[in-house]
Amino acid sequence: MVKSIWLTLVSWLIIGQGSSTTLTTSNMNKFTIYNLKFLIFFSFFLLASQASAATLSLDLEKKEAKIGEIVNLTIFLNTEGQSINTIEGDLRYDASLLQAEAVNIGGSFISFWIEQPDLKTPGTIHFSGITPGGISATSGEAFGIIFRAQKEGNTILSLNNVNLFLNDGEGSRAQAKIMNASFKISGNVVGTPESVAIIDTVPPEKFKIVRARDVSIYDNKWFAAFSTLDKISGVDRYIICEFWSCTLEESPYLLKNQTSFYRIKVNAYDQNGNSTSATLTSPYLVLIILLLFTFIVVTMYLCIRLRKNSARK
Amino acid sequence: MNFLSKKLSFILVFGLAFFTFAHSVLFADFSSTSFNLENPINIIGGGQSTSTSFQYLSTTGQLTGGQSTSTAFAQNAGFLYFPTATSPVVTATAGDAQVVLSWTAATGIFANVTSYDVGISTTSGGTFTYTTVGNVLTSTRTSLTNGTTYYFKVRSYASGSFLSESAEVSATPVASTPPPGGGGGGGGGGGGSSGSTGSTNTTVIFSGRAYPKSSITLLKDAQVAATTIAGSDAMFQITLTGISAGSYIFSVYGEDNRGIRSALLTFPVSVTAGVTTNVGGIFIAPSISVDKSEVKQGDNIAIFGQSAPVSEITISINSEQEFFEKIKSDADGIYLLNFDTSPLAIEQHSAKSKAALAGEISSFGKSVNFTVGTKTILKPAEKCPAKADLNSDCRVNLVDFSIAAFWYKKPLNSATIILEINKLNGDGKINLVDFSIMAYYWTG
Repeated sequence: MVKSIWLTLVSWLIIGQGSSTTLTTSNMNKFTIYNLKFLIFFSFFLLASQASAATLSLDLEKKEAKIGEIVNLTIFLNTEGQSINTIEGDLRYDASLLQAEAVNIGGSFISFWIEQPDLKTPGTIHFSGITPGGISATSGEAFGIIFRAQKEGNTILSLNNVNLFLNDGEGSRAQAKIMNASFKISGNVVGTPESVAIIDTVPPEKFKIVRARDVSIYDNKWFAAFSTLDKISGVDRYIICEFWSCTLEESPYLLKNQTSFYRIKVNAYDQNGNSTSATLTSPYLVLIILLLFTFIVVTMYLCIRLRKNSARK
Repeated sequence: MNFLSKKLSFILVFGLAFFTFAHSVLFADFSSTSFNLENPINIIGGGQSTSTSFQYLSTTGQLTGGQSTSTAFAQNAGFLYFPTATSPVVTATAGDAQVVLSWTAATGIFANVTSYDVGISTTSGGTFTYTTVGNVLTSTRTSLTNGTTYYFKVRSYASGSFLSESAEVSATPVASTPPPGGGGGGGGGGGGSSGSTGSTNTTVIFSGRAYPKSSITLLKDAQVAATTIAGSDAMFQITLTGISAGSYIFSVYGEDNRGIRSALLTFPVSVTAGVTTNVGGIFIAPSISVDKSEVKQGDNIAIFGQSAPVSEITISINSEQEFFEKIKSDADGIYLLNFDTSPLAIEQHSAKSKAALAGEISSFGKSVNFTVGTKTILKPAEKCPAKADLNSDCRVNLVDFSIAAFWYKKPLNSATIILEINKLNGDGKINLVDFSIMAYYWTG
């Protein structure tokens, strides 16, 4: 649309009103020069004010591989000068040719995943997440996938149902441009195929547990909220313990113990099994333990004194 | 007769147009002690006029005081509409005889940033030598002397025209420390190592401007990492230690003298193990508020807030035609604009502000809404986020995210529908639009 308006404007200005003469030095009369000045002027503003679409692109480390070989795919976001705070999309691939073996969210700019990319559905990897405050980047890493080539053929990896949202407080959609990737698999790998291994010895980031309740969720019952990131392989799972009872859970978690005496421990594990834990203990419980401890000490002291006194007698 | 009347009407229209032009080109004069530009009119043409204290970049036609628009562009007349950009936030990480610089993209206002220059100096506030690095957000300055402190600045340009400059940020390259226990053999000192502190200390130092004596909150990956109080000159510094190496999204916001929070200023930082990383040139956008939620057309509305002391505040009032007003903040950073609403249509409008001081330009901050109508309704002071605070604790954080995540793609109960209507986009369901609103109002 803009292009067609622009072309019309260009032809009108260069050719002149109704004239079909071509642009040569000889026929560039004053009017044409005047028009050209406006052409430059309009060019400046047209280029200056056109907000480019943010681009979500698929970046394959190589375009060709042999059967059994590993290939890394990274999804990058170029915001084109805009601030984007929410992304969503589906990564689609041919599951008969490629097998997704691992998800790498370690270097992602996403602070909170609404739907963390996983490998539960072969052929489609859905993702959505937010970056509070928005991000403006030329090559912001959203996440990566490690594929293994399965059989010979040409395939296209594509992004579908992509939605990008501007950090404008209104939830406005940003124009999105998609750059898919093509991939060719031919021949067999020589020797033993390499195994997928993300070297990660660093545990997830330290974090805090929040115990809260609200009328809008779990019938105003207490729940625990927690979140952390792992900078290398990404957080894989959380195990939440209420006193000694532990389960594999996600945030938010409805607490079984709704009393004021609680002890909640959450272990966050990355994909290599490194863990970081956070604990939240009721201040009342701490107080009771302190009182109990004091009581025991005082009782023991009194018992010892009593015994000593009786021994003297 | 017909020909004569056509001719006369042409002269009349032309004359009226000329008369309109002649009166609308008289904008405010610009002057300094050695220069005075009267009745500024910008005419198409290249080149620039300069003196020792003044630079005048010629630009496109400025024919009337109004605005020319189409679906694809907008041309505004007036000096307030000159192209500019926000100052980049610069991160400097020292290495062995090198410093890795990265910066946030300068956001162009009436222009698109097309390239950056990196300036280097060995004296703070000294003469900087600039190198064009293109339209990139990172650059490594090599062949530096270990142990010498270098100062860096980043400038943004649009097609060769200067737009904005960052504050200076320093880094001291240090020779790589040999691997522990290393005698003769072993590999070289790979990676970034070294830096201005010991090899075990991973430190990030944040510095910049906010509001005098304001409370500053630093978020690391959207969770509160540190808080501090700015000085009376609005300058602040936060030192974060003991974090692991990796890429982080840091955000900073300030709270003004009335408890009103600024917009989040977000920037990615890549932290290297055992190195001190300096992040400088953070300029928190001004806070903003209005005294009326609805103002009778023709009455004044007070637009006020806080920024750095004696900074130049540009206030944008969004209407069918966007209005720009410039005022100075006082010694406490407080600014106040009494805006006459006569030219505004009876509908909802918004206002936002940015600040400029010592060559640094902040981004536009949060926008505040008001309605121009037939009556005046005073607006009570609001400290809590206008939206997204689902549990009404005056914060937008993990708890609100958890509530929204719980209801995501699920049918809402009646209580949550009301909550969604009042606190989110009001479509009666929790979807990504709501999460985007939440991410904007995030406080951590």
